[in-house]
Amino acid sequence: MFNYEKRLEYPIHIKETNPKLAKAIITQYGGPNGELGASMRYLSQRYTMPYKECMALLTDIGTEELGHFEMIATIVHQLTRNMTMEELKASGFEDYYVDHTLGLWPQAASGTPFTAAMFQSTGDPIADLSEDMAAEQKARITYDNILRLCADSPDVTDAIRFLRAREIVHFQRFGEALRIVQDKLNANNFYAFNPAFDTNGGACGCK
Amino acid sequence: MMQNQNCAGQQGRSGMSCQQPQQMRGNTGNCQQPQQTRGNAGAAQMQMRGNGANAQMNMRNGSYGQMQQGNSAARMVQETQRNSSCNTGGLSRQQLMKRVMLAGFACVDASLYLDTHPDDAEALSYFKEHNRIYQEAVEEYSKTYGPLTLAHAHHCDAYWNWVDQPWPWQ
Repeated sequence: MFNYEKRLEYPIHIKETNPKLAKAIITQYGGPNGELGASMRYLSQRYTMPYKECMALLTDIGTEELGHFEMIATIVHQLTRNMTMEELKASGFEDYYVDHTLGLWPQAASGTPFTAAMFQSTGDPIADLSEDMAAEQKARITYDNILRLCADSPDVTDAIRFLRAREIVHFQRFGEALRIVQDKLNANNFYAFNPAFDTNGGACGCK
Repeated sequence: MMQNQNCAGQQGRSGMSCQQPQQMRGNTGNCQQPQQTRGNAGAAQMQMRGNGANAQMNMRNGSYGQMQQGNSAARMVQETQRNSSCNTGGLSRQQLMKRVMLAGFACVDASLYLDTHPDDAEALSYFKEHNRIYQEAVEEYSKTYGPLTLAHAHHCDAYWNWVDQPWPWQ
């Protein structure tokens, strides 16, 4: 069951209008390394995760990512809410505006709509956690790239730095989760069976 | 910001059986105070309908407590109200979880109504009462059987029980 807390995980108070920057940052709303995909990835993977520590971690990081999803939306909203038509046209915001006005819609910076094809849920703990670690690194470099774009916007930089730091923490925790999984498997062959599927300890044919 | 609530009680298949008010009544034997005021019960029935036009019509006529009786969700909430006069001590895990789910649902449902009727005094007191039951039940459950939310994980002294209790899909 989920409840909403009426606060951001980290405060965001952006005074400037910058639609060009908003168009880049929206990629973390619905892009390939974005927060929506991250949350859906972890919250989908947790059901077949056979180990309690990893179930808890997927639940809690998946939940935190929803908070980040809200933070990204807040940044995009605050960067565009006071935009004039002149600013809109000068910044190339028309292609977003024509379909969504100033509404938030999950898409990549390229305009590609959010799709579940941006993440995986394989039902194999090693494959899932390896994907999760890669996803955190990909989100981290996306924030690195955004930081180069928003160097002149201290209010934006502050929030993005927080989000970037969280990616690094999540990467660390997923690494620990992967270690927990491997510790429970055959050290001579981690892939001898899938602990989320071969529940009798049986082989998958890859011994 | 979103929060996960680990409704991990072993409600299993017989869990929050909206369709089986009889079964719920089975758990209320210890209650000393059988009936709450009609007003509140009616209030419950009101939004339990949740079927749009009918509810809206009644709201417009100001009859928060005059919805038709007989739907199962309404009985469910009446049940919560009877439970509310019980002491939470000594309830089994399943009984306590059932109370969390009943009162929790009453709060969620009432909150939707209040979002569009923020000045409805009767609905406000209905929410207040069920929210109190909910808070007490969550606190009691978390203390006895393990945290339902991270905000209730302060009962974990020697071990982080958040990872230890069953997850709701197990």
